[in-house]
Amino acid sequence: MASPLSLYCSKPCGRQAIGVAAVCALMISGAAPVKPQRVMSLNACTDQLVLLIASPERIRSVSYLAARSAATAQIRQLAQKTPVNHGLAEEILAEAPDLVIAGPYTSLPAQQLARRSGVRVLDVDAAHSVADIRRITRQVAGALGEPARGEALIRRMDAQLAVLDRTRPARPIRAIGWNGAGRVPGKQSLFDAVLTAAGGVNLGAGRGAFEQNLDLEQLLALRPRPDLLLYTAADQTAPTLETAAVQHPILRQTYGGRRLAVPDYACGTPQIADQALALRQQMLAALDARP
Amino acid sequence: MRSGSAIALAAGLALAVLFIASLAAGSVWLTPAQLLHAVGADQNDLAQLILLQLRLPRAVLAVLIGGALGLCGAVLQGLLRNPLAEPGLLGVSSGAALGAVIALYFGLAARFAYAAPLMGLTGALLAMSLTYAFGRGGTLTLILAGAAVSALAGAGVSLALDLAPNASGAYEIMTWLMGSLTDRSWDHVWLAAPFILGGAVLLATTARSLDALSLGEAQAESLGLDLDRLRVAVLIGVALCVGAATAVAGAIGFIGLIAPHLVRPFVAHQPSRTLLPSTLLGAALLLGADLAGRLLRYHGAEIKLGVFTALAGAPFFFWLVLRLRATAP
Repeated sequence: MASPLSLYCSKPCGRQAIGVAAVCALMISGAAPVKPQRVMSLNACTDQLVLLIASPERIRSVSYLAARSAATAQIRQLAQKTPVNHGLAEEILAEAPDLVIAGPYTSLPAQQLARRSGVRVLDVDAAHSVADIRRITRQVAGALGEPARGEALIRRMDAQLAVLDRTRPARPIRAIGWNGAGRVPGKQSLFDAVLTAAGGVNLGAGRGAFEQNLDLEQLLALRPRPDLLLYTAADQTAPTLETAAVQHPILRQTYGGRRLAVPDYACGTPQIADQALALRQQMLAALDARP
Repeated sequence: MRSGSAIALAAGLALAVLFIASLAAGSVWLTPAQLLHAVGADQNDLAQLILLQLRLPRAVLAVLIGGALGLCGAVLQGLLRNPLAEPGLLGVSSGAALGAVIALYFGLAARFAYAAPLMGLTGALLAMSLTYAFGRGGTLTLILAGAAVSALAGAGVSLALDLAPNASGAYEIMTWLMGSLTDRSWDHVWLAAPFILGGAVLLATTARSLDALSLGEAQAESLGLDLDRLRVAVLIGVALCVGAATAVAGAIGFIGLIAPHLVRPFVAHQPSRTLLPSTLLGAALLLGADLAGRLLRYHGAEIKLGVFTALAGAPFFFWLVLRLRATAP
């Protein structure tokens, strides 16, 4: 005779071990949410959500990229106080987490190993919009057993976005993102979401959903002409070929001080509104300096 | 002699046509009238900016780099008396890439612009010295030594990127190593030109010694040729050319292999006479490859220059190998 539990959980419980069985049992019995105590995040974007949602003593480790790709100073400070992993299978065995959070670029062998050894693995999508951010924040907060904390972060974000919307500049700021290697973020990108919230119009939006290629010739010929060239980079602190590209004499000549270095907005977190506010201030300052 | 000048003239004509075509071709369409007008237009005219600040430096760089690679190939094939000698196959390009990567990703080039070509030529010099030290002897040993040096330099590039402060370097460098002239400026021309021109002059002075060497090393030395001096001159000349070229355009293969072979049948196999036509043809080939990459786009993105030189070069290389096998004893 099949018990309700085995009917409900036959597949996951069949393959996985006690940890998942316990979760399933609790889900059915409707008990208080499980709070994992040894959380391991393997992805630079999930790191940030985990750091914002879970209390530090419950985070076993975040990825070594967490501090480098942190969206805000607050997340960076949290990351710097947390032990790091390198997304390796061996580290999963050594740290014996009770929840592994993985993202789009997490190594598959590491995830498979975690699943095989019975650890619960949460797979989180990349966010391309504010709606995505709400969804993955709820997803991670739910898995961490902190749904209220997740809702609080989302409420704060939505309130900030509403204020940003009410106070948007009278004249929209026309801007285009450019990464130095010719890639321009399109409509379905987090860049577009941040820029729009900041009071800008993304001139790359009509040109392709995620991103498209625009070389310097096309960038110069773009009409209407952007007020600002937002130069996106994952890491503004260390030199790369792409950081050098924005120094091209033709860009110095045509954009001068209207070239702004901005983050590449690779990770969506509820602090996106803080990023949008920072971008608005940065854009207005640049336009004031050079009318 | 006559056919030698004829091939130089033909290559020069092809070069001129391709040069004009590459000024006319780009992602933004400009009519010939706009282009002509652009030369005399005011500062903020779009056509003028595109023509004088993007297309012209790009075409000039293609001529400089293609010419340098063609010349290097011709001189190396003459010095080593080896039909497969070429900067790419001898590991020189990889060595230059390693030097340039270190300069670009550890902030040297950001502080001192000439660091990239200087480190590029240092890497080229070290790589070529290694290949030469281990590969002296037959065709095969030289190519094997070149492959080993390429592998070593490639590992060095990966290691340097792992240690570099910026995490996004690995992806960036993958595309950079394929070779490209996209969005280059006059800054790049001024950076590379002094080294390339210096190297080319040095290589041109070796022409007569290469002729003497074609008689055999012992014969040449009995004619009073200082072989060691010749080797050092070629080493430095090639390192200057390839180091600076790689530092601004990435590793571009096969031009140095193809150009001298296309020229050789017309010049009675006298090494000195291959130098000028190989230079012109190398420049024309690189301009052509760059033009093809700009015209044939994939999802709006240019196809990398190195893709075309390798697509044309690899079959040529196979053909050379087949021919070598047929003529080998």
